[in-house]
Amino acid sequence: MSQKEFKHFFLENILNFLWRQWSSLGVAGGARSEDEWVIDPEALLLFSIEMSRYEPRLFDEVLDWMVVNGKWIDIQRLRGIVKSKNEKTRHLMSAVAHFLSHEAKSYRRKWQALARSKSSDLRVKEEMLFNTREGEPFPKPGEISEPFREYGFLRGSFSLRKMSRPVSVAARSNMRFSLRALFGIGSRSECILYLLTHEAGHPSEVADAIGISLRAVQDALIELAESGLVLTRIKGKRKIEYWLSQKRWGEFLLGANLDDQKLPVWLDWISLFSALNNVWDVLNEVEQVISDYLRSSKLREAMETISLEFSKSGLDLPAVPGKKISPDKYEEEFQNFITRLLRTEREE
Amino acid sequence: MFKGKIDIEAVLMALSEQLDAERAGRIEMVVCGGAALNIIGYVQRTTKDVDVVAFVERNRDGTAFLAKESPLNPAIMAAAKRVQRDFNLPENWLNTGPASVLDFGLPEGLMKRVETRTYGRSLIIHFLSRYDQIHFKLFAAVDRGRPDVHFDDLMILRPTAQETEDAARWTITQDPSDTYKKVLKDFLEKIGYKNVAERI
Repeated sequence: MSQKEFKHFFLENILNFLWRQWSSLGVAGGARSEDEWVIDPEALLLFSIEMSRYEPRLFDEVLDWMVVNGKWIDIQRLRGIVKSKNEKTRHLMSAVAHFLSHEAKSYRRKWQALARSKSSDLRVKEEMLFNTREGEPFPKPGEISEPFREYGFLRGSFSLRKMSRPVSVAARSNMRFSLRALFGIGSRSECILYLLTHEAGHPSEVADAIGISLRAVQDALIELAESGLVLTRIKGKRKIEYWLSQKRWGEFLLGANLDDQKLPVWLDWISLFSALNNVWDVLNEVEQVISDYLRSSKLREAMETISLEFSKSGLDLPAVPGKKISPDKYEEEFQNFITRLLRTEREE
Repeated sequence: MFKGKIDIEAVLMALSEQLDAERAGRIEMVVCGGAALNIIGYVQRTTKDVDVVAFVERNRDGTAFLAKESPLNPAIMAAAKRVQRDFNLPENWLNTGPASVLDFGLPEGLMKRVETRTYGRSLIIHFLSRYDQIHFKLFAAVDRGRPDVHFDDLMILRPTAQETEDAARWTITQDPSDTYKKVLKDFLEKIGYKNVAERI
């Protein structure tokens, strides 16, 4: 597959995947499906606003969903994840938050917390919000959307369709939402979700996986353990880990015998989306590189970070292209790896 | 490990592309050893590294001079590191191991005899001539004191008595100790250059 064809193939797969994820959360317009894994709305939101710059319809449906379901979003957690992103993504998230603070009036203050510095304060160069699949910016619209322009992103003024449905908290993949409904948004529901999907967890492992500060996780776990329904045990030398009875909790939360229904699978979406984002970045970077060797070198360099992130994600990974692969074969192996990975994601 | 000339040249071309991408400017190096012998065509054998004798630097007026290290070292090192990773090479694949000979001087007129090749836009390599390789190989073979790859290379180069004498005299400038001179003479006798051993 040529570099250009592969980039197109990757983008199509990612956009299809994002449509499926949002549809299972209640976005109108995509095919509904229920996946094995627990959806992470904060990580999904961030990755979606970046990638749906190539699919304006999805971008607007995500905004539409946020107006209806934004109450479920953990702003503190979202802010923590945004911190690791580049400046452009941070601005885009601020623009979205600014827009939502106007549209979803009941949650105005919540979104305002994320809508920080505007373009006039940051002196960012204006750019078109949307691009074609080929990476060309959309033509400049006649009437410009003011909330986005304030953050340096140009798009036509628009109205949301208001077709999104409230998220179905009963679906297994939406278990995060039912836990947030039960325990409130924040570290408690995230800790319970982690323990439901793992045999046990040390506070630092839990904090690292859920993207919340260690202090907040430690406090939450100590308090949860006081209920007697979250338990502790010593592992190794004085290392306390927390666990819970997945059977009891699972049956309570799913309202069914766990023998008939499995608990959803945990994936580290923060790492997974970060890896996919890095794949997209390097595909864009090598697009301009004429030399076959330099292209393979850049892909190999990116793979060092990408493979680490993928391995953290919990996905059943295909074999990462090894160091013995010669430069003339590397681009093909890189493509094979990503293709197999996208297939894994569909089959999970 | 390089299997031969094609492998070495592919790697040098890759190094040039990496230097170009780093905007390191044009780099000139003087190279000896197995890589040079393969490229000039005296041997066809595997080699594990590219031995740099010196970097060619230029004064403001354009006059060339040889330096043990290049001021562009960080850029060269970064580029070499990438090439190492891409071709699965040993860590020291590009090294300045032989550069210490610069302290006591190179064979007279070495730069006039080099064979120069250009790789891409950013890399010029001056490969040592057969005559100068004899100097370096003799010094390395005596230093090791036992038959090894340097000894084999020296034999393949089939030096004349005069070339061997020139080389032997130069190696003494590198190590003027009596011990070295004795070992050198023994070595020359063993390899059939008794007359040369008597003359030095």
